[in-house]
Amino acid sequence: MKIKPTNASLAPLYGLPLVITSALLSQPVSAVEIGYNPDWMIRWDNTLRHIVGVRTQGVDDDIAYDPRFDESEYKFGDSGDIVTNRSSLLSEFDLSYKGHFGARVSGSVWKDFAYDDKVEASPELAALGFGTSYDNDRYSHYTERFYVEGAELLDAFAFANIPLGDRTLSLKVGQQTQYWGISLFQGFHSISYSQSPLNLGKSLATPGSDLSELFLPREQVYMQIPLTQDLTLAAQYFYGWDSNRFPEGGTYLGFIDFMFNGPDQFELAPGFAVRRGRNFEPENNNNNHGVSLRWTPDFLAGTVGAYYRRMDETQPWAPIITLNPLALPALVPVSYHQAYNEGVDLAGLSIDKQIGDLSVGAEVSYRHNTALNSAGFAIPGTDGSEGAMGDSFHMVINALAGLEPTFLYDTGSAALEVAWGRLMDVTENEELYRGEGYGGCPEGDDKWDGCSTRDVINVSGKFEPQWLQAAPGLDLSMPISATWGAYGTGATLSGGFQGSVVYSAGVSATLYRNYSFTLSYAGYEYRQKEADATPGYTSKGNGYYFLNDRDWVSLAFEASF
Amino acid sequence: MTMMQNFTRNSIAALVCGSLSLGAVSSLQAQELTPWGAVKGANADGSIPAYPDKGVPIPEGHKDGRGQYLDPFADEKPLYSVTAENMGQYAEHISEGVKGLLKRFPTYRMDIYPTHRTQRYSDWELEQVKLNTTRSKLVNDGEGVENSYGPVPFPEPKDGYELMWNHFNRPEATTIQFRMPSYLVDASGRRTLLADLELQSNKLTQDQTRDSLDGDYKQKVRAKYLGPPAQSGRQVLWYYSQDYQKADQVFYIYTPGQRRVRIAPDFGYDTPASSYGGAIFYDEVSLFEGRPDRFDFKIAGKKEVFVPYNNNRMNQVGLDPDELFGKDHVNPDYWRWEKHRVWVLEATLKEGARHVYSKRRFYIDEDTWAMLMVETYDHAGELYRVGMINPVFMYDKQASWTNSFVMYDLVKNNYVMANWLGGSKRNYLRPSDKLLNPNQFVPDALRASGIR
Repeated sequence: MKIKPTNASLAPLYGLPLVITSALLSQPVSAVEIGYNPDWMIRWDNTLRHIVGVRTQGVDDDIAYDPRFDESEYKFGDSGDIVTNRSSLLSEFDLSYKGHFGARVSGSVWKDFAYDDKVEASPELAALGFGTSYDNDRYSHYTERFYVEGAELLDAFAFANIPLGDRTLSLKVGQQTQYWGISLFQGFHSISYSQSPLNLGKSLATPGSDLSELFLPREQVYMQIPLTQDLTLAAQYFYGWDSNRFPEGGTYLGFIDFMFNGPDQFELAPGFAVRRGRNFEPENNNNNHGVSLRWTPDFLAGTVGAYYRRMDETQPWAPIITLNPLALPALVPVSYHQAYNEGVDLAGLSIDKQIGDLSVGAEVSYRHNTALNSAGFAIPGTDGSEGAMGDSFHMVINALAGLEPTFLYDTGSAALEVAWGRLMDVTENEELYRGEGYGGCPEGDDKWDGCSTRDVINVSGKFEPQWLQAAPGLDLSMPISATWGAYGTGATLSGGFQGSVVYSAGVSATLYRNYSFTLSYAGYEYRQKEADATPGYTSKGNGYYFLNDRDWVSLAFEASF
Repeated sequence: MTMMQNFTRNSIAALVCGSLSLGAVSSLQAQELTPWGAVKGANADGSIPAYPDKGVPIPEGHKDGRGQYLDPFADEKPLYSVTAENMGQYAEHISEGVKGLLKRFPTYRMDIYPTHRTQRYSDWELEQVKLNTTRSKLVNDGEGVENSYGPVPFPEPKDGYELMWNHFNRPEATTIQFRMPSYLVDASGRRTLLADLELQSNKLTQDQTRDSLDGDYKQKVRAKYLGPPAQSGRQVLWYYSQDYQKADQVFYIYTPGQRRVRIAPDFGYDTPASSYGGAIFYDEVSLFEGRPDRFDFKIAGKKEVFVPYNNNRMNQVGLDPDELFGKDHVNPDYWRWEKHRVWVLEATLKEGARHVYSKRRFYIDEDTWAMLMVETYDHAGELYRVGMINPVFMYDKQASWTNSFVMYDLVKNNYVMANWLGGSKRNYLRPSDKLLNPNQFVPDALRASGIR
């Protein structure tokens, strides 16, 4: 085991015990509530978090010899390397006058002491003359911001509850998250698909995260009004758009070295790099909106919902390489970029109901002209602003259970979710559709190479037993979660990969309900094709198999004040 | 008072009913009862007075709208104190649970104050109680009541289930709004904030604009967490059923960040409530809540017992929680005990049913029909937990609020204080006779009002 001293500064950790002790010495306070005027509720809450993560496997040459993956592989290339050592602070400020109107602003700042801006690469590939994906072998500002140190505004909206007779119109205007449907884990098959950008980097770093922890706020006007006592109409109109937040190239859990918004170029062969071009992104104000009707009659003991959404997708067809039309029939790449699909129609139905002791949710949705898994190049002569599109059907069913006490644990919770996606029709750019038997799927390839099947089924689960007051003031739990690609490769974007298992298992301790420590192991298993790896080769597999050697263990501390 | 006079009992009927319902409790036979079934007169030695003709006046200094209640009996001194040393002298008036506390903690003590039967029934309530005597019906193995409205479905309860439904449907304010913290005092004596709740409750059986229940639910409650910071913004909405076999309790949760409301899976019975640090079970909120189907409920007589009553003393603004919440128990200097007649309700675990408790014994006040104390036993017959209500007398409504409670866990050596009105001037308790807008008690209303 070798720890790189430059990357593995433990200095910020020394401060931690001090923070904890001083926090523990004071009696818990009821958050920070400002003023005593009962009409004005003014609150300022802060959450401090520190996480240290360590890689548990060394570099696998089957992955690292592929020039698309070596930079992420070698950023922290040895088992035992500290892969993150990150402090972050989430600050939330709310203001409300009698609940009639008010505003909320939240933001986050972070610094990762494990990261510098230097791009690492495979020595074998460097010896062959491969360069890296970043100019001057240094992270771009974008990558530096999200992985080394940065800050961002999260929520920023104003709200008003306006009485109209005996009803109240609720209005929220600004940057916020509002998402629909019942899905817990499988955002790519849900009614909430692309309703807000997803933080996919976080999703990888903390497998088992609820969707709610992954959504990023988006500029919109949101309104809601009860039509009758048990029927509620909600509508949203977006005046902002942002893509999902991706794991950037050259960072520990990065997908592809030259992807997404951080890297500068794609080093195709030694000395031959293709520059990253301009993305095709929707306008901020592009008629993205949604309407929902939710019905909660007493006799149902649950809620039925109907939804319509018009959306631009937050996940790109990626990457799209444009080719030089003059060099045809030779394929000479000119540049590469991401393109996002616009103008998808989604209609859905949901139900949420207690059945027996379980909370059961189910939803179905139909998408018209949604982006499909596509070949990574533009149709020659076009600008590559589109991949394949089609109509798809999705169903998500889940159940939540409370754990009854046993001799093993006091209580806890469990959740299981199954998602099914089906391609109904390919509507546009069929030649690009990377489905088994279609033009976008190379001859001889199948789902084990990442070509889509008509159907896909994924299963996610979470099981978290709890031990309450295991010692005075101490609650313990053991969160275990996994997502399994049960069948097929999704035809829609990120729809799932057969044979994959992403999991995490850990132990969490909460002291005085305010200080939590979580030790967790995260593992990634995707199907990779066997190959005689030589430096510079192109690996194959289904899904994010390049993560297979990047399991890691982490210890996180969190305190709210 | 007129409401007292318009209902006089036939003493022969009382004798008959009394012998049927009270069995061995012969001392209560032939006594004149109030319309809601309490003994009207004083007890033998006068320590429990006759039900008074007049209510307690609003004390001077009370400010309307503040949601705070002064102690209307602030000038009173304890008549005597009960300690581990002299408890033998008062044994017949001490619950088994409090005996356990006195034996366990040398610092525990009961200060006994003069008894005040403060609960008043409005004309509307008395009318409903009167109608209930002929219309209320126990159904579905005692898990539900039918045709009952207003308070006290069974003024003369004939069995344990009727008695329990009197507690469930006691004369509470139509609506309650409050903000209060709850604490866990762990085995090391450290106090942790469990919840800082803002809550609204609509008791539908007490809606005075109607005379029958619409639907299966008798009460709808919503609450928002203002603290601790890790919980801040979480909202919950739940419905209490009038018949657990017909419609089980439903529970919705709004999760901050998610801005979405979902129905919660059923937690119940003896599953430790993680929101209370596991210090109580789900069916122990307010001493007993939820489906009664795992226990046999039996009336075990009526007794004169020291119970927490008119406890405003402990719920004053400015009280220092460090002073009040001791390492092992609440500081007895602040707790007001009075001697009242209570119904004893015993619940014994049914054959083949599973629960951590083998037995639980409840003490239900004759005037408010509120469960004021509980003691529970494990399968070895050992005392497990002792709970008591911290009743606040809301003199402006002439009614007690009985949803604040303390539960002592004698196994884990910790206790919870749920919904304490005292301390911070941010806390409030606001009763009203007018139902809050029912639109606010549906899942999507949580979403509308959720900021986090």
